[in-house]
Amino acid sequence: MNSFRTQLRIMLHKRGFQIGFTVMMLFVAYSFVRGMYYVSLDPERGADISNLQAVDRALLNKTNESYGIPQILRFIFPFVCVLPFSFSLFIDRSTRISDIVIARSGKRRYYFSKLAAAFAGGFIIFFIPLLISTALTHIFCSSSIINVFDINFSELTAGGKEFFTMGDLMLELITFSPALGELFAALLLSVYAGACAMLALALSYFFRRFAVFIFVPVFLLCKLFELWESMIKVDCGYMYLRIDPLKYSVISSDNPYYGRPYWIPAAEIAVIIAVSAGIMLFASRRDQLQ
Amino acid sequence: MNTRNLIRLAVTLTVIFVLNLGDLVSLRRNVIDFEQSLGNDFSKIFSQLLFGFHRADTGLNVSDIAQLAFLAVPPMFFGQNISADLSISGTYYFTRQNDRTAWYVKRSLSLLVFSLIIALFTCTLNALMTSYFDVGSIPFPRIALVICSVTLCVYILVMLSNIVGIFFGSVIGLAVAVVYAAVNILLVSSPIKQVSIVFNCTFLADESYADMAVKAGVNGFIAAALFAAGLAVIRKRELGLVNAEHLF
Repeated sequence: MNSFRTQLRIMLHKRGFQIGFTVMMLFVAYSFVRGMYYVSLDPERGADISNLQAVDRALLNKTNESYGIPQILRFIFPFVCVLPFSFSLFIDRSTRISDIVIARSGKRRYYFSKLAAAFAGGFIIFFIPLLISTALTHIFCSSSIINVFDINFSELTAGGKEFFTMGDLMLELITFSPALGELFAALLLSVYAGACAMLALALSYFFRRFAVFIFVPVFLLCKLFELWESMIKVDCGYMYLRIDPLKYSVISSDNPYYGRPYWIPAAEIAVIIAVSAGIMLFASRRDQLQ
Repeated sequence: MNTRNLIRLAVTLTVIFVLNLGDLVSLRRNVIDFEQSLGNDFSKIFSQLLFGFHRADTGLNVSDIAQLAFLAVPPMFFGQNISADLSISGTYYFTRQNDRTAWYVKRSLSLLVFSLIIALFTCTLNALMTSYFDVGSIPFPRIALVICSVTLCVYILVMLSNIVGIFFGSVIGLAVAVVYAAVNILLVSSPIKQVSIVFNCTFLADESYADMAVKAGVNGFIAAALFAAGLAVIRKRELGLVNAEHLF
């Protein structure tokens, strides 16, 4: 635990973490300003109370064609989640700090504290901005029950909400409490980011030169999930299964039209974590002085 | 062009091919959609021949961002071409070659050639996916302008990654290049879209030569500015004090 706390402190002072966090906060700010700007300038909506902005409109991971924020999130995700701490093992090995730390704390403790700190880095860098995004929208927008469908008159639709949600877990949560559903989506995204950061850190054990190539495995992983999904799309037509964990974390009223069993992202994240832990176990059993 | 760069080029092209594999596989389904839309809107489908956008009537739509993922690949493999060499082995290089400008110009030109190859590969791949349109009917100067613009777009991202990498290491350089690409994609739907390097890569079939030349020219201007900035940095940079690769 002591070792983990040390690694966490190192992580919070890394330049990569600070830059990645700044980038995410800038995107949150952009998403918020953009979401508000559109409403204030729409002449057809006027000042009627029924046209108040729905609470999740300016959210970072809400699907909306005219803003394009979730797509941008998908574009920068493989780079931002790796940025906080996944390079620390590589740098420690190239500057020979790892030998000293291992001599003091032991191999397994060193590697697993690194792994845990990498998970914390990937988790924090997405979870806190998403949390701030949620808080901002809840402060400045009107809250109604079924916001994600752009219907603000909750009395009209609250009775028949099963018709809209169709059993989708996230939408059920949103109709129960918007903040709860948004937190669930943010949690899913952040845990996946943490798992990706862990995988990158574990695979960086095999890299000796060119730190920048540590980006490649996670980038390819994200793209392979997309590719896998598009393969299924060909065989089954349009109504297909979601494979990519990133798409489970998007808040959209289209969600019920896809097969979205939530054990799929859970299983994928579990496999990623298991693989990275396995690599670290393998690393901790090998001789360090080679 | 040494062996390492050729391997990097091969890996880059392979990754771009894998990124496009999803579209290639789902082509069977798309063919039907295209045939239905062929009758009325043929004149507007020019851009998707070469860049792969589905909605050519608006130029670029946010739902096409998935296809822009290839923009992140060239900085990943060529983003440390100048910066890492300067940071790790700059002393070695400049004891053998006094003229830093010549070294930099040579490196930049090789990066431009790699960008051209990557742009040609991507555009050809996208053209192949829609090749049952009459590609031969498009005049060559128009195709040349599109290729030129896409090349400059890739070159700008690679050079940006290199120049930032000189100060902060190649990892931060790549992150900055990717964020710059993302910002440019967001700029496409904004009032100042003319400065977006991604917007300047999308063309319509009925666009005039003057408009196309302006788009390529803006990309060329940004590329020239980056080239000049890089030259200034390389000439002033002190060698051997700090290894920027260990800074992030």
